[in-house]
Amino acid sequence: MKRKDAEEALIKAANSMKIEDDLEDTFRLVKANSPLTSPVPEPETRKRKGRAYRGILVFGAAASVACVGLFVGLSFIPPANVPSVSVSGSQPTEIPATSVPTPSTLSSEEANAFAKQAVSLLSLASSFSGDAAPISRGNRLNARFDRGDNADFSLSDAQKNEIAADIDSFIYMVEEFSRSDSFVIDLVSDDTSIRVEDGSDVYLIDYQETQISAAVSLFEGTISFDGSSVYRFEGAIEEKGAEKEVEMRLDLEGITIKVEQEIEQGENEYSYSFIKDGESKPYRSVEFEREIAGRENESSIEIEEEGLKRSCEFEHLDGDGLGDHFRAEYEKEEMGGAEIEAEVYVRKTGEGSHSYTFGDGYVTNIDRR
Amino acid sequence: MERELNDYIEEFRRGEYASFPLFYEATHRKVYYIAYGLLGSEFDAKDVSQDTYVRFISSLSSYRSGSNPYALLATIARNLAYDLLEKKNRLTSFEEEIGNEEEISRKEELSDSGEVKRLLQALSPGEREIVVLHVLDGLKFREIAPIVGKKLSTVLVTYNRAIKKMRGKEEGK
Repeated sequence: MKRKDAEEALIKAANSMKIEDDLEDTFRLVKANSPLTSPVPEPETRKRKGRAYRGILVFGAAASVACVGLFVGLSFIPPANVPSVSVSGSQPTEIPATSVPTPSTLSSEEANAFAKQAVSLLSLASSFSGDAAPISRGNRLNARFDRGDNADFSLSDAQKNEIAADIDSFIYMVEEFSRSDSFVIDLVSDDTSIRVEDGSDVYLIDYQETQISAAVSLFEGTISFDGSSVYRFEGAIEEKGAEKEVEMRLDLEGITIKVEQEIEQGENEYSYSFIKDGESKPYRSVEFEREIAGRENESSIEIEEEGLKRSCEFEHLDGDGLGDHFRAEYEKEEMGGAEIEAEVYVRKTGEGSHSYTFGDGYVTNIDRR
Repeated sequence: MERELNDYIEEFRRGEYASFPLFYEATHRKVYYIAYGLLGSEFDAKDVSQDTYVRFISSLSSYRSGSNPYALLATIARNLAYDLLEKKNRLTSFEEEIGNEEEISRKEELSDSGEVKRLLQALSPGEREIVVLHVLDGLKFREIAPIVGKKLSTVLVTYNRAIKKMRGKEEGK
């Protein structure tokens, strides 16, 4: 059951509640106690009406038309291990299963800005999120995301785990966020700063964390672009046994980005949303779930935008890390819908290195040194 | 909707209450949800809802034009509900009102609120109010934080925990 399901279950139950319309009595009391029509409140009147009301048991009154704005949305879920992997490789011009078009509501500049910020936030989330996203305080990450042919990527010792399980994350990550040809994230968490180079652009993230209890930490900071625009973000991390939750919010000009992450044993859930112009309507919703049990690895990604829904499921078919075989099923519902199925072969090319070959020719190399 | 509600409020401030029924229609379910979420009693929730509107009208002099009227209604309803709980010294009333699953089933035959009770049963009072304010009343977390007197991050964490409990309850059903 997902977060949205729980919310919808409650809304459905609440909507079905018959609440007696108490307008007549309330209206009378309001007028009687109005500061303008009755400067001195009459508590006795109010009480009497209230008590009279208590004895009445009426469940049949028609439901009012009020229940508007039961706005739940804003559930979304993105990859957390994103910065824990780095991706490189050649890429065909069209990868239907993962190509995410720039939302029509945003210009390409805005989308690029989003991409940078989202990457930063996800990096930050992972830096805080511990085991499932293997970047921990005190570790240094140099992650190079490159769409060129000869890009490489390295991880520290602390980050060398479960790369195969991250396949969905990094595919999503690269296609979703890396709209530039290349960018470099340099995270020095001891210094509580992250420096990101994206072509000629440089942006800096500074953050502070406050441990408010053994299990709960708050963090806040700023992101600055080219030393000028500065944006604040804040969030919280809560550890509950084997579970961990990370929430963060970044407020830009008229746009709020929220990132939520839940990590449990064998299961990861991420969500993020963008809220534009203060409206509660998310312009994009993403759900991402993963279950890992031994070598089993089933993941799914669902992206919903206006008039467009995409989902992608990954399944580990066979292999033990040396020539693993995944199957990715991709479904795109747009103008009648279309289904695409792709298979992914993972080949271990050396100690700590993997090559991922996708059914459509997309090749990704991961080097875990 | 909020703009319309604010129009009504301007009229109320002038002592004109002709549009109160429309204002009430647009808001009373949400007010009720808050009261019910804390009290777990339909009768008490109705009482508190009624008092909320009386108090709301009296408080309009301090209402900032253009604000979210739900936030003020929610604050009043919440305070009144807590007052009532304190008065009755029954901070665990919700659990008592809910009873066990069997009892809920029986009550469902009489009332349509049984499912709401069942879903909220697993939550603490603090979790319940945040869930109700966000899910049923549509308030944003940053609007909820000042109402419940907690930091935004605490509200977020509490909400997540509550939703997880609800999910667990649904999955274990």
